[in-house]
Amino acid sequence: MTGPDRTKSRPGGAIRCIRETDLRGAGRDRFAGPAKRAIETGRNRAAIAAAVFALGFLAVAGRLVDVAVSRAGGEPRQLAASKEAAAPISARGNIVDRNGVVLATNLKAAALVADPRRVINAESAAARLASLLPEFDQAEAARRLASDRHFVWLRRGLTPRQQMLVNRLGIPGLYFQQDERRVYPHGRIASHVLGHTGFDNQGLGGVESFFDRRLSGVGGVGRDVTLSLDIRVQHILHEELMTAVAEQQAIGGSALVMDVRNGEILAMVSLPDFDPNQGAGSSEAARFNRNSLGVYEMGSTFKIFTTAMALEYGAAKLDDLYDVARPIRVARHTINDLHGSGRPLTVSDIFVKSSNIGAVHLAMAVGTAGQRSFLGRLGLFDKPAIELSEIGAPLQPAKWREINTMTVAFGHGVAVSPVQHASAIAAVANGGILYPPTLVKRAGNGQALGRRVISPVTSAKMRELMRRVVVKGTGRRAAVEEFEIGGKTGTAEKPSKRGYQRRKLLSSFVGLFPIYDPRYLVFVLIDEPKGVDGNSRRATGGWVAAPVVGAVVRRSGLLLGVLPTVPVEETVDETERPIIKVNAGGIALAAR
Amino acid sequence: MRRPVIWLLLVFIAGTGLYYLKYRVQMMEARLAAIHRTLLAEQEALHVLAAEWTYLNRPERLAKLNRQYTKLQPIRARQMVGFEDIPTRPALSAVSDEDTP
Repeated sequence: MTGPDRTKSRPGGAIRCIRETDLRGAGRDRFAGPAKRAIETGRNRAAIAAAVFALGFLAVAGRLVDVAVSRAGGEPRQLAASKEAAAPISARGNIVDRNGVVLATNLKAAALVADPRRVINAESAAARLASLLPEFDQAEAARRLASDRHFVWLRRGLTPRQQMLVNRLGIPGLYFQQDERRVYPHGRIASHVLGHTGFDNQGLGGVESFFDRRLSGVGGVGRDVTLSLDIRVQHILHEELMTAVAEQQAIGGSALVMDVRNGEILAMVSLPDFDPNQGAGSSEAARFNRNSLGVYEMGSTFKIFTTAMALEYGAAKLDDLYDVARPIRVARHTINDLHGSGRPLTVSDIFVKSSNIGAVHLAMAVGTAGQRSFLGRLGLFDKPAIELSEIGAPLQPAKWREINTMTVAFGHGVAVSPVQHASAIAAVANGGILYPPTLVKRAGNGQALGRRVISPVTSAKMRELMRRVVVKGTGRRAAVEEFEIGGKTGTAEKPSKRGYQRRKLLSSFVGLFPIYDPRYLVFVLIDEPKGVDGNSRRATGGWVAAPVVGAVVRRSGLLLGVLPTVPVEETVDETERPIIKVNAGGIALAAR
Repeated sequence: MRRPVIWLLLVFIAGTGLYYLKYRVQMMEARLAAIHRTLLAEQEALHVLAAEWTYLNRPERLAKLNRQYTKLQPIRARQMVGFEDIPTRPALSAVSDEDTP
């Protein structure tokens, strides 16, 4: 506390002072002049050197503490830690569905190689291998084994069992090399979406090709891709479409399930299909993805666009009457109705009864320019930007004349792929927002990607009309007890070199459920159905495609998280039951 | 005379200590490498098992097994009700009122 007392109480300080003065005194006595200066310089230098070394050691000590103490907690990542880890488990990333179920992965496999100069008897070696390995080209193997090279490939992607069997043969000169094999555990269910891979596991077709760089990655470690697909729904869709195509003895079919609120595709099937595990061996026709690469004249499902267009442009109102009794003759063509109506029809009935003549009237009320810009706005003239390598460009007339406007009104003359067709219909039904279709699970809800194409009011009217199609129109066979489905049938005659073919149809149905607040769209198209019970008049979309949509909705509705409609307590006479209150759609819109 | 002895002793102790330390570290490094190898093998096994699990859980296979071994039916949509649709248990007095006409 008291200053002077503290200094006095440090005796050491005083003693040191005395000794220092003593030494200096002695030095002064012994050396003087230049010698003294030299010693001073030497001392200073030594002191500086000592300081530098001290700093150096301090740095070393500090680094030691840093390494030993501060960083001790950080275990090196185990993959980077040991030398063996230089080869990662799997070079190519996995493909998983929206719930993380593996759709494509890499497994270790062995490649059979040989040093022909060590092989004693090439002929017998090849013969013995051929007895073990399926589809083994014995002659080719014998030729390779007889060559005078040091190294030849014999077979890649051996299963562990095959490897064991070959090893047991004990043929000298055969060796195994570590190899990787792409495996698709689900087989052919999602073949066209996934695509397949080549010998060096490079993506060929489908998502494998589109995301090849991401899957193979840089520096050998690829990243995973999470698809929007739900393998359970995919299985249901695949099974139902297979059944329908087999029953109809059709040459093929395509189907997809899409989330109308963001464009995610939950399931997508194209028949005929292939097993991606043997991708390279499949035929060109089997690898053809009808959903994205195929473009078709869709037929009456196009009336969704024609009607929405007429309502949106104010060219017609729902209860406007049109005379559809007389066929329309233009140029050398006659436009007629499948089920003729003797009396004038309202716009609503034109849609529900799928009248070609009525649709032509509606399109003509809008005009060619309006029709083209409307369909363009729905993205029907552009290639859809979906994550596949196979995308077909839509076809439209080189020059639009009046006849084109008329035929396009009921879906002939413009060919689109099912994927873009589905997203356009989803936009008409979901309140008027067009979302680009996608096979990849959206990070957010994807709402920002949407673009308004029609008004909410028109969309609500269209939902009402599509519900009527299923309740009392051409799509009755799509109706199921549990969910309210709305939709539209489509039956198109396939074009050939000489006009359209009466007997070769593309029959489709597009369904949305629950229709008053649509969540999902189900599209089914069957190529050249023979007709229910072999009756060719029962080969239309309403007969062959609508029931498939109904079955898919019934089986997958709960999986997709859609609650069934509340059962109606008193079953009123079915025919007289008022279909629905129009304001149901209106309320849903207000909430959006 | 005493000083060199102390130094020699120190050198000997330090040398021995260092030898043991280095030996221990080498042993531990070998163990670490072994553990890493096991880890990698386990990860590989997990990878294979995950693929096999998916393969065995294919919807079509499950459906086949179900037909073969159980009589389970798919859930009908009608079997699902919202939470608000589940009736609450009627109050005891109300029940007794109804029971006695």
